[in-house]
Amino acid sequence: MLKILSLILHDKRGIFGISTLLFFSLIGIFAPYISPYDPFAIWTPNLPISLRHPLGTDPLGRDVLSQLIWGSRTSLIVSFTAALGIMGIGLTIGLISALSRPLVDEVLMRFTDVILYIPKLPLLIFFALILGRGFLNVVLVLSLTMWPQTARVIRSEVLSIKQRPFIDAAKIAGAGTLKILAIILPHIFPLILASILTLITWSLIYEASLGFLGLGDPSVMSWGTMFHYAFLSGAIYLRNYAPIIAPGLCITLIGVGMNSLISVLEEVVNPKIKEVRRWKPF
Amino acid sequence: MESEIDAFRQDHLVHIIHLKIYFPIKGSVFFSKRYVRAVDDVTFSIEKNKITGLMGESGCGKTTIGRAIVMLERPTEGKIIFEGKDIWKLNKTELKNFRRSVQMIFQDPFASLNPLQTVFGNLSLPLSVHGLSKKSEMRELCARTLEEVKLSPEYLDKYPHQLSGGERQRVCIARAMILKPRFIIADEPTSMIDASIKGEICKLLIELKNKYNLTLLLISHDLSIIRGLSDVIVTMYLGKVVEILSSKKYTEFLHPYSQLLAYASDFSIEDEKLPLKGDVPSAINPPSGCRFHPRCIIATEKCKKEVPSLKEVNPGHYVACFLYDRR
Amino acid sequence: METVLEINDLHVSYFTQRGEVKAVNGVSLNVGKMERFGLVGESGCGKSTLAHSILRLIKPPGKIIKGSICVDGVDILRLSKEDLRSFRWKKVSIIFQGAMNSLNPTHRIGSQLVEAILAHERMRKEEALNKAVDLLKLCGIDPLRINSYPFQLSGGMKQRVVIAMAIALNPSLIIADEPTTALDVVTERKILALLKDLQKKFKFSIFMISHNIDMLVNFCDRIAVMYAGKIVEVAPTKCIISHPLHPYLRGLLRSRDALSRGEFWFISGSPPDLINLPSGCAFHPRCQMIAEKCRRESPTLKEVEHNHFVSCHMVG
Repeated sequence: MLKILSLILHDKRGIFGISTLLFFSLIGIFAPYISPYDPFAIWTPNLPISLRHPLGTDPLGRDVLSQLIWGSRTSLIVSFTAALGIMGIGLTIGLISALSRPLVDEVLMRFTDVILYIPKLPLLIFFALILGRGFLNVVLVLSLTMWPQTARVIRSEVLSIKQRPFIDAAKIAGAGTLKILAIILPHIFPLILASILTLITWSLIYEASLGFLGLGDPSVMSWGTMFHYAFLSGAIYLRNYAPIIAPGLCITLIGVGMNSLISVLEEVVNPKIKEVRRWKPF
Repeated sequence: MESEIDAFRQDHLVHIIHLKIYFPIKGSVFFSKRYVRAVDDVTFSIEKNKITGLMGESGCGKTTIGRAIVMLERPTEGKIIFEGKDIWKLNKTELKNFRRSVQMIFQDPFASLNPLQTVFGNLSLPLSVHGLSKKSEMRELCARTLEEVKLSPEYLDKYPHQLSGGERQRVCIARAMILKPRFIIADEPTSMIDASIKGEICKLLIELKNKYNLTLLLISHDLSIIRGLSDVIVTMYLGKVVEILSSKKYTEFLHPYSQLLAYASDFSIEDEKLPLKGDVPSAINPPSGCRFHPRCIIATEKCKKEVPSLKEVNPGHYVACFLYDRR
Repeated sequence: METVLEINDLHVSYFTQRGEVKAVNGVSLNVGKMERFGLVGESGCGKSTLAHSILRLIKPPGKIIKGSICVDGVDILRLSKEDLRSFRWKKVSIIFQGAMNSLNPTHRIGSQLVEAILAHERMRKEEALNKAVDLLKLCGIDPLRINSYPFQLSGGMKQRVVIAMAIALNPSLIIADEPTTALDVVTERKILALLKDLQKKFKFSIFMISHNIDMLVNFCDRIAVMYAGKIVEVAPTKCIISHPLHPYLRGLLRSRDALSRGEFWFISGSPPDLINLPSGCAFHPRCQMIAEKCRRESPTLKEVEHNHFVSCHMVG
């Protein structure tokens, strides 16, 4: 594990990715101390960028920078938790599917397909309306709708590892399904890690979407809530773009950071295997 | 339980009886179930303490039979009897026992080792599965098994990618030996090993077989390896057994296909002299009658219509060919 | 003898994280016109790298460090990209290891053949198609199969398609890198017979690379032995069989002979790591007849008798 970390940090992309992650996490953690003002406190609306309000104020008079900082806390907590929830369900179903009898696998995969084929956003809205507002519900909703992709990815990777002769050798030695699982798990750690990073990005985006629609919790500041109020208060007509661009940029930045990390991760994991297989060009 | 060839004999460890293994082909356009007939009604037995060589080209079913014996493939029909018991009808304890008695060595030594574990990790897996030794003793046991394959204990902490091909295969052999099995199936053990080291692996297999009174099933497409190691040679073609002979009393192959293989493998024979005819057929739609007839230079009308069965032509020498039918 | 290929002091290395892999470490050899030339060596000796270098197919982290490769008198290492394109496939073509799997599974074999032809020569599509049909016939494939996909063909047939592609533009030299490794022995013999036949018809030279010395003895006029990036022996096939000189070659032949007698013989140790080559002669750790000199100095290829070269301190 430590080897992987050091290899990642040797690559510029890795440094960028990890810094982005750390940066926003720290902002989120220390929000109460860093934020200049209370995000819901009202000042003069639509102020331009100034020293007192580094990102100006939104049409409702609230300081944009404070909203951004406090928002990062909620958005990140929601997306991290959701990512873990999605991975939890996806991993379990993917593993069960890959390691069970073909019939069970088939049934689980058809079920997965059903959820997968339903367009995400309407499904999310549907669940959100049923479960009601609140960020816990957002996490729940995301976990229940976004697991199919992950399940499929995990399943296909496990299936391909299952074909390899060393698994056959373990079976011949008498290993049962649980032991085989224990053997396979270390081989999919990098995949799980990379998937979680992707899921964090997607959860951020969907949280922002739900928040924008007001299905989150408008009484708690998040980046989605920022979009929500920006839209409601007509920030676009008023040409006050800060409350929209700022959170959008942050989400994009985190996304880019995650993708950088993932590409470094792939290279770190693969050349080990590539180097290890006797050099093909010879 | 009777087979066509032998009555159930005490000196035979494994009996394969009317074994059929068909693999369904998915996604057929016309919804018809088509099958690859990998193993199509095979019956023979494996003698104790001998090396049986299973020979044939790729796709003849020999690897499938090997996998079926270790229960990695499920028979479509037929039985596999090990030490008197049907392996698919074993209870839990008997199954555990079976897993300790029968082991396998694979073709690709690198792919058959867990790359994320050290040699010790790979070797101790069978031990931990069977709860056979305490942690403190495991290392000692693994070191001693490594010595059997002529590797020093310092190899225990190496990873597979740090070893050469020959060393990896020796680790695989050590892993197969660690549970002290009675029967080992070696599936193309030398085909991915360099020519200068093949002899080393072969020599090791024979030494271990003699030292521990093992029974070996050697699967290979390489005739020189089969001839060099086997006591009994079983030739397969397109899912069927076409010849069985003892190599010690070896005189000549009698079946046209075995002869073709023997001539083709001998590069000192010029190309013009080889009886080459026809192309390799498919196992989905095998030829009618004797499967070899499209490529056989002495095929007759009868060969196209009827399937020959294995008949004892000389003591211990069985051939499935109408040429040797004595009526 | 007129030469079609002249390699002079070629050095090719791969620069990996672990170090410099000296795959080709000073190789010089010639292949004559219409000659069947064989190269034998085991895994990791650099023979595939050598094959790829002749067509300048070495990609980073590999690099051709020094030396020259002359085909029909032209040093291809100094060619521009434009000229390289017209050189490839028209002067030299290659049949790769596992070539059957290098056919594009989603394209019909006819169109793949046509593509290969048109990529290197300007002609009308119909002409190329006719040529493709002729090529298939020459290689023993029913022209009706021109619209088949690779998965509909057997291994032997796929290899024939690859051979058809290789002879398409009538090159002077065809490099065959383990062309029959994945085939069963009967098909292997047929493919080799086909290659011999085509060679007589089209008068090209073949540079055949394999780990199977028996096959090379049957097929080639001259054989070179490669070990750890260097050529250690080159001689006409008759000499290779009657009096092999280099200890490695003798070891190979001996282990092969022993097996046919039911005995086992092998060369102890294993092929060296091309990053950490042994000092002096690369074979010395495994050699039975070493002297002090072998540990210190690396031997060079010397002509020991007519047309028979060996690189060994203990010979000649």
